[in-house]
Amino acid sequence: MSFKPGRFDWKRELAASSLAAVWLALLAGPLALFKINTSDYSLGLRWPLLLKMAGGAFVLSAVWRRFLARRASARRAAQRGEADKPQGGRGPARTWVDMVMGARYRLQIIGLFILGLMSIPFWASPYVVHIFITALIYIALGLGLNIVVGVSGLLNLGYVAFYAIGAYTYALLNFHFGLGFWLCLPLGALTATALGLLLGFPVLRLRGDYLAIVTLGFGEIVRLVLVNTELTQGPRGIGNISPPAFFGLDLNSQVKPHLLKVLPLMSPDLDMNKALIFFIILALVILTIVAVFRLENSRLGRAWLALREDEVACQAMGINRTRAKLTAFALGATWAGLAGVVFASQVTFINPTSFGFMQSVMILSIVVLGGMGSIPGVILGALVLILLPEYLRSYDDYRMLLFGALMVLMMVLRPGGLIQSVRQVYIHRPAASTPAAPPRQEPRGT
Amino acid sequence: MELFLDLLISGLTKGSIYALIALGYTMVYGIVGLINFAHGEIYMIGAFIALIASLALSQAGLAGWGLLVSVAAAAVVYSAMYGWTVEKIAYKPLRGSSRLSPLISAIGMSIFLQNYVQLLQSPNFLTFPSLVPELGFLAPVSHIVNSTQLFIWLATALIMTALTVLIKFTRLGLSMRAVSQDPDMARLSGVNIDRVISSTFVIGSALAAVGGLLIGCYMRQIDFYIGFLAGMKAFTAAVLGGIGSIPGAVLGALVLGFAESFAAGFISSDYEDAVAFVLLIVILIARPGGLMGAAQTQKV
Amino acid sequence: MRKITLAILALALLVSGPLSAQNNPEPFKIGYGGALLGNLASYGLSGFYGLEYAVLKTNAAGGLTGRQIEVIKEDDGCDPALASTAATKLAGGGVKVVLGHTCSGATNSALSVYGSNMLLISPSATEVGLTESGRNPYFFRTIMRDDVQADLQVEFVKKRGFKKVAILHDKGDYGKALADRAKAGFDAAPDSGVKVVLFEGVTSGQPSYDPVISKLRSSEAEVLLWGGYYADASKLALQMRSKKVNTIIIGADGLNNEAYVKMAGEAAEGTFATGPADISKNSSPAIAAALEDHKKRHSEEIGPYFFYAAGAAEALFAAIEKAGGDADLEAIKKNLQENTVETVMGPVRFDAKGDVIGAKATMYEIKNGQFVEVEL
Repeated sequence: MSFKPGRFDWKRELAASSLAAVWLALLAGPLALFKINTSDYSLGLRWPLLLKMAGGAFVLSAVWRRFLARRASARRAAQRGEADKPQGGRGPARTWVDMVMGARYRLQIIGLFILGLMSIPFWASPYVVHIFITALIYIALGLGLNIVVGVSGLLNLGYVAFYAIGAYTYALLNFHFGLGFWLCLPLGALTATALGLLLGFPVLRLRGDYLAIVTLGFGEIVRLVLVNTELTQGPRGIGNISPPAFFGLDLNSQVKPHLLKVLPLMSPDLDMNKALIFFIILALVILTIVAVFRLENSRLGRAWLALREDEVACQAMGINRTRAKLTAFALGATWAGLAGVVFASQVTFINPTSFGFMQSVMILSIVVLGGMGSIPGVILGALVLILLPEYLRSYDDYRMLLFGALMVLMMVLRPGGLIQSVRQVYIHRPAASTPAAPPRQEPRGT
Repeated sequence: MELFLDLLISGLTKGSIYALIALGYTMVYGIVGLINFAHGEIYMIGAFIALIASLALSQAGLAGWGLLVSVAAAAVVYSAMYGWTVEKIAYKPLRGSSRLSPLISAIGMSIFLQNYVQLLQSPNFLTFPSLVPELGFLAPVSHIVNSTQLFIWLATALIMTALTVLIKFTRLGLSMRAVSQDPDMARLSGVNIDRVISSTFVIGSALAAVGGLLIGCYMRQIDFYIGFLAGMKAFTAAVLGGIGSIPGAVLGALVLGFAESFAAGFISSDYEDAVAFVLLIVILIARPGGLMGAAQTQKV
Repeated sequence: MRKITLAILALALLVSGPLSAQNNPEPFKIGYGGALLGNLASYGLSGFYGLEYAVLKTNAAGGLTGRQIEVIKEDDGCDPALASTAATKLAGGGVKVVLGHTCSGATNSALSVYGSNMLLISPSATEVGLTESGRNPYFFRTIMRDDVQADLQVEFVKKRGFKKVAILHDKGDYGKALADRAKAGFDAAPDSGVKVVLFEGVTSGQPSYDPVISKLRSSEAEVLLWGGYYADASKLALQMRSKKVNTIIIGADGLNNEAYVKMAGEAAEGTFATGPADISKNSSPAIAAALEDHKKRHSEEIGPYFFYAAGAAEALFAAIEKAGGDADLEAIKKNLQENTVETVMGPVRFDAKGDVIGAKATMYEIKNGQFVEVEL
């Protein structure tokens, strides 16, 4: 695509957009024009719809081409001015993260942000609290998978299995033995970790897509076991899972009335158990962030990075490849297990439908769309991919259509993810002897 | 013994259905290296176009072989157009970025196309006509093999041969192999990468349409969701056979079909997929490069 | 700056969605939750069409308590996790009564949100425990429970003197529950001489059921009880007949649908299916009118749950009208349990547990493409 900088050739734009409209009309032709009447299998004709779609394509194409042209000219301008800027951040999203992370008061800023999040149950509607719990669960899941996929470069398409294990551990122990949330939280995590190791051993030799398909198979096997065994009650699912206990208090009758008196903004419809779960998952997510951050910069974390970049070289450098892979799998699984326990307590009813292959795909999308290996990226990715379908609910039937389109659009606009990870650089740079290289954007995976 | 033979034929039927989808899948997968989630959706769109074309054309008075051929032509052309467009919109801008970025874009595309068809056509199951005319000589054995099945086998064999010839012996095939090995080097050697990748998608999508048409005739019903399972099976078969190997994809699909069939027959169909996946894991652990994949050499 | 403008535009787009939906002053809000997108959308939409029919009829007649009814629909994709979200959204949207949740699992999860603050009537959730457990004070359903239908199937098989039975299900919450119940029915009466020779779940949506049909052939079962929906059943029937396996298929209300006949064609002949006695196909003028009305608005078929949903909605509207609004759920509950309402699906009244009274299951047989009631 070549654009004359700064000049708007409307004739060419018109021609190009018309072409796009004609192409779409041709492409969508049979599906949009003919409507199969399912009661008698006759074909109805819908010319207005086809015309509308072509018109829409024309407008979209014009806007898109304009956007591309502007972006191209902005990039050229940036390239020309690069000499003045020795360390150019790429894109606005990274810049604001840089701004926060580089700010003098960054701890205070992060603290304020967390405080803001913590206040949500005290003013937002139960629905908002609910979807934020879901989003936070997916942040934990995303961060866990990030260890496996983003940091260690092992493509895992069956991650949801560990999530399911966590959820079912809690549900079953609660259902059969009445065990509480707080005991099951570590138990769920442990079970998932054990399963992660179990999966890790056989797949040590595999790499790339061969690994991906085996993990996919593993996820499906776990789901099928959940569907087919009597212990898990199969597709009927397990209901009535207890909410987390809070010092033996019944939150809704003993605590809520007092809180409502003090906090006028709080929704009286809010289920206090949900509020408690919100705080639990928020704490877990903060813990996860700290843990993942520390892990990434540890000896183990560097081993994972080396594993991702080049397995052979990594082994040659004396890194224990087996241990690095197994810990990546096991630790990734641990977080999924934790998230699963919280999920079970949030929805109080689980069945295998919630743990299908599409769920694994969504979690993977969170990691890749957010920015592989980047903690703020994964957080943003989870927020976008979980909250977006909720915001799109007002578009009714078009919800998932728009969601799919936006996923493609976001990926196309930011191929490296919303917030790309910046490799920790351990270089001592002598003053101006070499042209200062900007922190390299590492290509992910091979 | 009778059950065994019965299951053998069932496995062959199932396997060849998977193979038909896997062939188009492995075409793109082998050359571009992209786990093409939207392939199943192209297959689904092919089936829908075929259904609409068959309804429109049978109203126009076509029937029999003429109808089958013209419906196939419509489905193939349209699916190829969809494949080409999807590549231009969702994958081309991501060329050169990490391998997982186009995967996510493909997932988005797959969600989009599913909903696109659901909204434009129907969320219901639609009856698909049996377009393959009954062959007279099959009548005595029609309870074992019907003409649609025979056609699926023939199409699979034909496509497998044609693709192998295309990739091994033609100029386009040579360019495809070059692009799959090293896109940058291919470009330097004067290969028009854009055109090669576009043709790969066009051919892969056209094959998906053949699958959509024939499998639609076999299943006798379609809905907007058939692409999901098809895509997953095709992906499994392609990896099992060895990424990029065209006979491998067929072999992988057949192994998958037989595994599911015998698992259903001798264990329980509760666990047919699970058994198939266990077998897959075992095979890949024994042969980490797939059944017919080239041995992986690691360059240091 | 441009990015910010774009972001604001996007935000405006997001916000404008819900705003533009508001028009009538003070409409009466009814919620609908169910699978509207995803692979089970056809079932969720079927129920929605039924509700839509009842709402349009009521609105044309002056509305509910003098107000026009507005339906707020939320998609749950039959996933318990999404159902919980959808239910929370409905609960926060000023809705007190909800119709729906297509699948039993999703209904279960949604009910934990509704608790004792909202009332739910399902046209399609058949799992026994939903009403039997007594945990859900404001849950009702117009569809027959799994056990009613499965017991009738068992009864039918015994009476007709079949000896070898195969039971297949689609591994879903509806199909598996039916199959389990039927199997338990046969196991409980070993002296009847009926043997379950095959009990398995098959993967729904597969292109080919050949392996399990081979197994069915070698099991020499005389009848096949199918726990699942019509789409898989029609595929199964077609492939069975083309392989010359003539086992008689017996389904439940998930199969008792015109679409089954349409898809399976010749192969559908002789299939049995349980269903409610009151909805005799196309017989009453009310049903014919509803079908005609639906045809004017949609080119889709009504699907399996249309009449259950329309009947549920009509009964619900009558109960609300009588209670003078939706503020007092206890009053609505009382009306639903005490008054019989003539609806398009027949007379509707609910028992203390929330199941519809008089949902007498009947066996139908497909003869010449029509569902015909048959004696056991």
